[in-house]
Amino acid sequence: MAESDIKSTGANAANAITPEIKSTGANAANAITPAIGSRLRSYGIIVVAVTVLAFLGLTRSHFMSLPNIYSLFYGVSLDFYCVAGFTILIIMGEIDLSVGSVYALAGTTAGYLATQGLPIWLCTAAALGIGIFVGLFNGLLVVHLRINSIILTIGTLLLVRGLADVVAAKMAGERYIEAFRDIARARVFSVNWTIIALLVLLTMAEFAMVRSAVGRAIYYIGNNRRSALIHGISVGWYRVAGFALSGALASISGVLVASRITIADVNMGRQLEFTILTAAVLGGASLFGGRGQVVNSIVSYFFLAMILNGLIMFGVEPHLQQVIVGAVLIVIVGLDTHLNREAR
Amino acid sequence: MGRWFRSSRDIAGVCVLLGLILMSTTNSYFLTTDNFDSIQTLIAVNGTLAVGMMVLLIGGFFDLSVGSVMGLAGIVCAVLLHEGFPIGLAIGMTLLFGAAVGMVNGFLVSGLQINPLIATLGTMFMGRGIIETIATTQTLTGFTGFPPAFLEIGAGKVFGIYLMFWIFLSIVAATHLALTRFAWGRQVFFQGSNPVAAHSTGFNTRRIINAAYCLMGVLSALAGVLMTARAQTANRYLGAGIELEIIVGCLIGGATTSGGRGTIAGAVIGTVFMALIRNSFVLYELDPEWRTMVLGGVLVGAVIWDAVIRARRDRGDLYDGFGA
Repeated sequence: MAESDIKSTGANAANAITPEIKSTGANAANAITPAIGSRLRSYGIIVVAVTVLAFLGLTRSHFMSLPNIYSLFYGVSLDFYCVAGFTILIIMGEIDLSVGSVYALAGTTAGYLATQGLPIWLCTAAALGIGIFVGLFNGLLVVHLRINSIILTIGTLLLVRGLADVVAAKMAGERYIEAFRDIARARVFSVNWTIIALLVLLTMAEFAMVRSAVGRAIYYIGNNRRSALIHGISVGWYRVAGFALSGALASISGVLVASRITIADVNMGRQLEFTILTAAVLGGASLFGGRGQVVNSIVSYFFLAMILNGLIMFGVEPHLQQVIVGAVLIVIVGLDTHLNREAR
Repeated sequence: MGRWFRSSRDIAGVCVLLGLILMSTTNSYFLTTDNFDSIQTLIAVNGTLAVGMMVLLIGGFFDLSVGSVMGLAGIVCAVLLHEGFPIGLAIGMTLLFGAAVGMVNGFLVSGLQINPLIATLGTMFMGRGIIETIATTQTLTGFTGFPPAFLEIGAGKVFGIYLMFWIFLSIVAATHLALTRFAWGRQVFFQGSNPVAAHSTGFNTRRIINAAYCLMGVLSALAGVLMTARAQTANRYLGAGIELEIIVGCLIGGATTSGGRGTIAGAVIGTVFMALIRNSFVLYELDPEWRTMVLGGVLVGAVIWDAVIRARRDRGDLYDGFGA
């Protein structure tokens, strides 16, 4: 398998995991102890992931090669922010489908501005601004006008995607300037800095979600919004802030990924929201809120990318990947719905 | 504002009228036969989908897989015709195929109770993946070389109006009657406005939902057949991304995302509205990149309008503890 092929999968769909993260995932699952079904699934996904990993490793010698695993892991370290934001929001019982578009618009805009000669920090700030703006727009409408977040964010998905296409058309496949391309490439101790950032931030995020008052409030809101309100949590502000955070984190991932793929790509982040949604639910999050963990979402995200990467190595028609993501989504949400009904 | 403008349908109707006047006065090409032909066929295909989607929305459901089913149906029909099946049989089998996919969607939503958006999103992905897989074995133009009698469905005219437009009109009439004059229609409205009550009253809610999804599947397949006959090819682009345009059209035409409200007339008005937007992009040579934005903007606008109306209806309930 050519290095370039592996890279292209890595950039779009992909992800990775090391043993230490896996053990964090298992511990964190113990710490929170949600419903038994959810906990079983948390372990289940890890067992399945290890099995698939072993199968692919034994049957395809390239799969376990360091460059391939590193590439997958590097990919997940870029998409991590977006997955984390999405997961925090889904824990509160909201869904933001516009993340893929925000990711594309923020990344392409930052690259465009950098290529126009603006300093990198200003471009990143602009990208963050876009993410926060779209997030606040979504959040304020969903909370104040009580609009179904799925429908509204399909609308903003289209709006923002249109804008991203306009910016991408301006660049017309041109390469971003070198300084911008270097953001995601910078290395610390001969490892990409994003990988170190992933390990540090993931640990911090998990700790914050489990131990801090804010983290607990987020789970509380997802479990029972009315009860959380009665107990003095400003539910509305949390939800609005959740959307803003989701937008901001999506834009960080967007800038990193744009920097990695080096050109303005109109397909950047397309259908990313569905891959993340599948990963989050696979990792124990529920469309009904109150469940899920950032670590598990990341593990599942890696797992999905691993399957897709493995399928490519087995020479499976790439378009069949879509069929598989669709099937996994239906099965896993069906299971989620089933378990939720039993829990009531 | 009284009874008027309670529904976004009335606003859409006014916009359609204004749009018609504006476009016919500012663009000399708008009133030509060529342009009318293209608008007619666009409305016939999209309208067929919109009718089915409106029934689902009234029942409180959704279908994102319509574009994929439409594309698959086009390919199924093309393959059957290539295998030498008679035209009537080929079309009949294609419609049955659509019904089968509709049944699958219905089962996922009513039987397994999966969130309809997620369930049909899954089937959309799967359908699109299958289309792409089949399409890679084909040339870029897709399946071509249909029997002339089949192409007549897309090109033939009766009394100066396209045959496919007549088909569309008869579907509109039949569905309107089914919704307003038959028990099934009342059940769909009941299901949409209060699913719990519908269930406890003893209605077979599963059957109502399945029937609505089945109808959607058949109409999607029909739209695929019509479009294939019109474009004289079934390729991978058939129906791609059409689902949101249809849903936006229905929302503009007075459907709500919470169900229980909507009319077939609204579906038609919404379809015409969307067709005029699409047409103006062609006539005024606007950049296609902006089309996605306009579609999204209209959807966001329609959803906000929907929310404002709802808030006004249950007055004072809007700021109940800041969003809890």
